[in-house]
Amino acid sequence: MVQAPTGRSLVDLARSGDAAAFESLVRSRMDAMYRLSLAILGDEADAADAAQQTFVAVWRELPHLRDLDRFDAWLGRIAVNSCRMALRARGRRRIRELPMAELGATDEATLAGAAAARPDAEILRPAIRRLSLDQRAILALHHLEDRPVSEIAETLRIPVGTAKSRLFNARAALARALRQEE
Amino acid sequence: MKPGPKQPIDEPWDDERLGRAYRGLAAHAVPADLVGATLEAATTTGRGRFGRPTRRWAVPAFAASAVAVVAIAVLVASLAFRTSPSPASAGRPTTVDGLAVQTVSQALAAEAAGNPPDDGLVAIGGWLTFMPLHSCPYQSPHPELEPGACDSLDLVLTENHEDLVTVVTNSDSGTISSHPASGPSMMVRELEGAMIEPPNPDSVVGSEALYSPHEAVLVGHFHDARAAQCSADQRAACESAFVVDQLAWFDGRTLGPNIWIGGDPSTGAVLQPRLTPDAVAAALRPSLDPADMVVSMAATSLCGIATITGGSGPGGNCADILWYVRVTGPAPRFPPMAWAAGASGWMVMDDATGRIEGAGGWGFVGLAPGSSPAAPLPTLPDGLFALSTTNWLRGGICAGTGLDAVIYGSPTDPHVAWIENSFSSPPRMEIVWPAGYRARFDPNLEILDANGNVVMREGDTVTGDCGGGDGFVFWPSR
Repeated sequence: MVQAPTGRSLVDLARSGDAAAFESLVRSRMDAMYRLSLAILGDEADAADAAQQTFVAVWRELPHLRDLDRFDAWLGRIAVNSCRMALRARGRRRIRELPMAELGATDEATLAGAAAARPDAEILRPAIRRLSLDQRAILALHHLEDRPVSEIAETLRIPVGTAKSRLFNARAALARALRQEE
Repeated sequence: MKPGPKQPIDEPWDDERLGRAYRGLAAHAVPADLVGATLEAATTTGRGRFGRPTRRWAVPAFAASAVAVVAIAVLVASLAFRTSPSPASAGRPTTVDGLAVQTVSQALAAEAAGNPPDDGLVAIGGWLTFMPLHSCPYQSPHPELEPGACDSLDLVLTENHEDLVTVVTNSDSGTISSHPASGPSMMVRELEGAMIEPPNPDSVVGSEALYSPHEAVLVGHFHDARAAQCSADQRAACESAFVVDQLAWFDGRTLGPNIWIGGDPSTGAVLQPRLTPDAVAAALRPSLDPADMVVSMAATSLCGIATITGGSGPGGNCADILWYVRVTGPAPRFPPMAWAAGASGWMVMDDATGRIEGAGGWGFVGLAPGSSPAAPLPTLPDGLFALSTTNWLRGGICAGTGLDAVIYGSPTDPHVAWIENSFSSPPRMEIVWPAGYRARFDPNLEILDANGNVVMREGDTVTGDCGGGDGFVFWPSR
């Protein structure tokens, strides 16, 4: 029985041009990248666009990735950058979002959690629009993905001390924004 | 029954509550076709090719919303820069779209001298650099024209070849530093209606190629009408900002009109126009002068047109799709407006009907309802008289809710035609007509629409209900 490649070997295969391995990478990480993009952008259409652009860039740039063990941090950094571009494009389009209720949650547990948190999510969505992209990104990496500060620093390519101070400042900015939305 | 999470009214926004809120915000299924579209886009792009995905999720193939992955890392100031005194290559065109290509310093000097005074198109050649981002505090709702807007990517056009960005990378970290140009330079602003591709759309994180300058010719304008939305202290800076409409020439290649597709105001989805850009250009051609050239085309909703024109728009269904087209060359043949001067302007076409809905530029200043012309209206050929009009063809006149008024006119009156209402004091009221409306006296007043049809005569009663339906509102001034 042939075992499907996972983790580092999957990344290595994709780096060498294996389309099937790349497809596996996309399928295994699309959900996380879409949610991260959604938490940063607050808009479903833009999040889908950003997630797609993330993996297009991954496929293109993967041959240049030196350290395969850092693939996920590298992926997160590309996702943040894709969100930056999507935010820029959205600023020009001034589009309105689909109501959250029009899109379903993935499973019952998520649905139940989402229902409980819906009021807070509805307060959070407009509040994050008051923040810069860098603030949105560091907050999403911390509160949505539960990434430790050291990993956030690696993802954003900043020193750990800088990540701590940025997270602190972003929290303060979010607190001000939430007070304005409540 | 298991109790659900409690949420007291005064519950603090601590890590636990923020975590719940973020998970709620992100609790949406990935769109069904996203993985497939992503795989297709990635594999059709290839590796190392200069090109973009042929298909983007939920975006028409011809959509030109610029999306690229951009590097961002720590910005470090004050590193050394390199300048090469090579203002222009031999291959850079001297004219594009019928416009003489100016250098950056020539364009800045002309702008400083007050020429051009309106938002007429100019072509400027130089070296285009895609600058890295920086973070900044949240600003006003209309920050795009203000310097230092949040989350904007800066485009800089320099007169000489200058490397403005330095990238240093190693195995686990990187720095990107930027610095001001040493020679003549200008910021290039992108607003609703036109975005240009980054110089190197295939370059990503920490890639030096993303930030290297490329020789280019941009077509754009100063004095964008949206400058009026800037805060008072930024108004002058917004007025003098260069707003790009087209990347006309890039690294030896002549490029076509800039295409931009906006969003649906009710759903947020990218608009799906019925007409292709080629079809719009073809439909406009009979109305244009043969020498006219299309510079940019933007599809937007009727409700969104004001975000491009900076003023009001025609009445109608908010979701209708309109094409906003910028043109260089002589004033169009239709609509027959009192064009003053200028070598560029804009036309608006209804995507559903293919009809022209409005026009502007070429020195024409549309009057807001209620205002009066600053100078006597010009006399037109064939014994016709110009009227005070807006930029929009759709709509009609009205006398105000519940009021009836009668049309009068005189060839010696500065306003040519007006309405009178016995309930008003004074009874005379000036009105603003739809675009293309003109007057003649045969011997009494006749009002002609843009197509030359007599639509009103002296003594006709105007019964108005201003402000609703499909009619554009022409409020009389007192």
